[in-house]
Amino acid sequence: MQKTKLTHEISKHGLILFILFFAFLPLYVMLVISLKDNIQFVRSPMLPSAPYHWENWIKGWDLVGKYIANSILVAAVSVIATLITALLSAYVFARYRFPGHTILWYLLLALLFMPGVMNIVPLFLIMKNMNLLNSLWGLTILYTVGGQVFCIFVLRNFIEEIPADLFEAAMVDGATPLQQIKNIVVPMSGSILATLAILRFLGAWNNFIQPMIFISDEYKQLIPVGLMRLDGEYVKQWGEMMAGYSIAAIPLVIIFLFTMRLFVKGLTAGAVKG
Amino acid sequence: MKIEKIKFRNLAKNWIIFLMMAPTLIGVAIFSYGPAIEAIRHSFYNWDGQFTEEYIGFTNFKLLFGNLSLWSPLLLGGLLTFIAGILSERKLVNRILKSLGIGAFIWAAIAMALDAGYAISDAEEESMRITISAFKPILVMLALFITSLLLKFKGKGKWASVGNGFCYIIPFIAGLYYLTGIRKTGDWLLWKSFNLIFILIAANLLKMWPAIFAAVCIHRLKSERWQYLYRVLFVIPMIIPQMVGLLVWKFFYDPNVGILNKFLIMTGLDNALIWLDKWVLHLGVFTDPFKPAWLGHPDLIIPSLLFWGFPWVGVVGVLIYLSGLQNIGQDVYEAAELDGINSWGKFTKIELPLIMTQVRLNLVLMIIGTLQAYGFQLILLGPEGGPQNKGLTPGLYMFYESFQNQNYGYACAIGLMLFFIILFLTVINQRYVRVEK
Repeated sequence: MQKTKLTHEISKHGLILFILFFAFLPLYVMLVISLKDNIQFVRSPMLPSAPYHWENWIKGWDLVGKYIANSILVAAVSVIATLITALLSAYVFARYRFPGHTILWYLLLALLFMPGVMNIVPLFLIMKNMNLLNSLWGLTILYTVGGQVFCIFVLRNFIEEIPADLFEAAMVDGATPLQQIKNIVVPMSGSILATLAILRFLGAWNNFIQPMIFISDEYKQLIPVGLMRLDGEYVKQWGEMMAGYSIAAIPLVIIFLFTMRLFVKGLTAGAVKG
Repeated sequence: MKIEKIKFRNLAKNWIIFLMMAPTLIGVAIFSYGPAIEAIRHSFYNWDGQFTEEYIGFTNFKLLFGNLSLWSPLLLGGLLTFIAGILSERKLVNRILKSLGIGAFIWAAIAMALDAGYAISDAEEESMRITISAFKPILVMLALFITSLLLKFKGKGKWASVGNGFCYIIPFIAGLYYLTGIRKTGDWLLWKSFNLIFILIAANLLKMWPAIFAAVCIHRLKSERWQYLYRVLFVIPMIIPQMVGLLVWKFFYDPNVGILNKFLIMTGLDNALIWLDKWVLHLGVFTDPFKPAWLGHPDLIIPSLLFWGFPWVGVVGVLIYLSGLQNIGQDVYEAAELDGINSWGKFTKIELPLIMTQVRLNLVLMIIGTLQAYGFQLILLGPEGGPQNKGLTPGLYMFYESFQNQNYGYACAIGLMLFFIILFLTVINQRYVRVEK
């Protein structure tokens, strides 16, 4: 009996580790190659080999550093703006019923099902008319609007589950809606807000179609498009390229380091359960 | 919870709540609905985004759907929305969808009659033949569908269940029939891109399982510490930016320096593949020296897309399933143990049913995501979807038509069609995939 239990445990670990091994493989390959020059790379791409070329990382920084600041700016501002506006709307949708409530709600939800490509050309023209083309602010606004629906959806469900007594007590004390949000909703939804923030940040960091189409100046470009250009070069310095790829992940690493606990908690508490 | 109800005449007094929603609503109206409405309008236009902009009616859709253009999609759309209406439980949605469906039926019938009339007056044998040949099977299917609906609602016992089954199967057959119609007369590339979508969805269905098993394994571990550790470890791969993931995989597939070819040569599998190609497959892809271009050869593109990201790795899924598994109480397991249920039984009888909500949700999101996806193929294969357009998805086709061919009106028409397909799937989802609390 004892023995079979042990083999059970080991086989479970085995399966998990098998999947994890392959999930980590791209990360491993990227880091290993980032320390090689082209000769070492051709000889053995998979195993680390001395001498280690740390200077690749300096060159990699030269290649992608300029894009990182833009990406951080756009991602951070759009995440904050998304969370604030989505929180306000979600509160209204959760706490009030007004004429047109249902229709507005379904109109918002319908946005989840629009194929993104369909909108891009008319969006391009609208942005052009509003003088938002080739501007990081324009992109920030787009990302903010793009994140609304999902965040409102999750936050509304969450606010509806907060006990009503809390809100009633606050109303008796004469709290305005804004004060209610600040004092009741925000303190209670810490891990969900953090999870949404990370998911949105990831979204903004990963999005490449919109910057590719809406930004034309090289110095305003965001990181995904920058990486894509790197890949398109004719003679590839694999080591520098992989170092650049790794550097592109560093801001995400930092964010995950600080919010890992909240994120794991938020994900498993069902922030994305739907 | 108690909800504030605001009457129509009190709207002005509560201006503050509208102020609170204003940023969202204005933003969405300008940057989401504005373009969407423009796109719908332009699906009836010949439009290159700059100079040409002329109304051409249904021509775009005719190109898309072929000769059966005017009425066949409407008929089918009518059928599908009608079913969707029946399936949906919300009264309002139900009514709207049903009336839409009936409206589409009527439109289709009129259009069909007109088409037939034209065909006769033109005395063009070819178009008459096509109209009539398309007319008959759809009529038969319609009759069968109505019969099965009648059976479903009026029939008793066995007959009701037969009717119930058939009213789902017949639209499916109609859909297949319709797709073959597109293949014959409509946009062949579009048909091909849907073919790829079916393959990708089938593959993704298989890809879901390892994540479920992994989540169950983590959940069943004895020690809480290991559970937490693994959960964190499954989050870590998310730090790789998507673009980096794509480019690294593109490098894996590189014919000259890529890891995949090196791995195959190192393990001697290249000889096996060369042998297979020579005697069984006859593709001429795997030859000596062994340098298959995984993303450059028409016959290898679909396998490469399927293998992309390792079929057995699904990181986010694991975390979502874990969140569902956590709701299972210890007492359920104890009861199961008393009944002598083995671990496979526990999986099929306890764990799988309890995470079914998440599985179904994931399934629907996956299907919708696959239908819309194009970025991935764009980076790996370019706007044409690789040689012979093997990797073309409907979304990528839209991208290609708009940015490569400046054929924006046509691209908008494809987008509209995609939107309706996704909407249909969503309505079905509303019926079957309710999130049980």
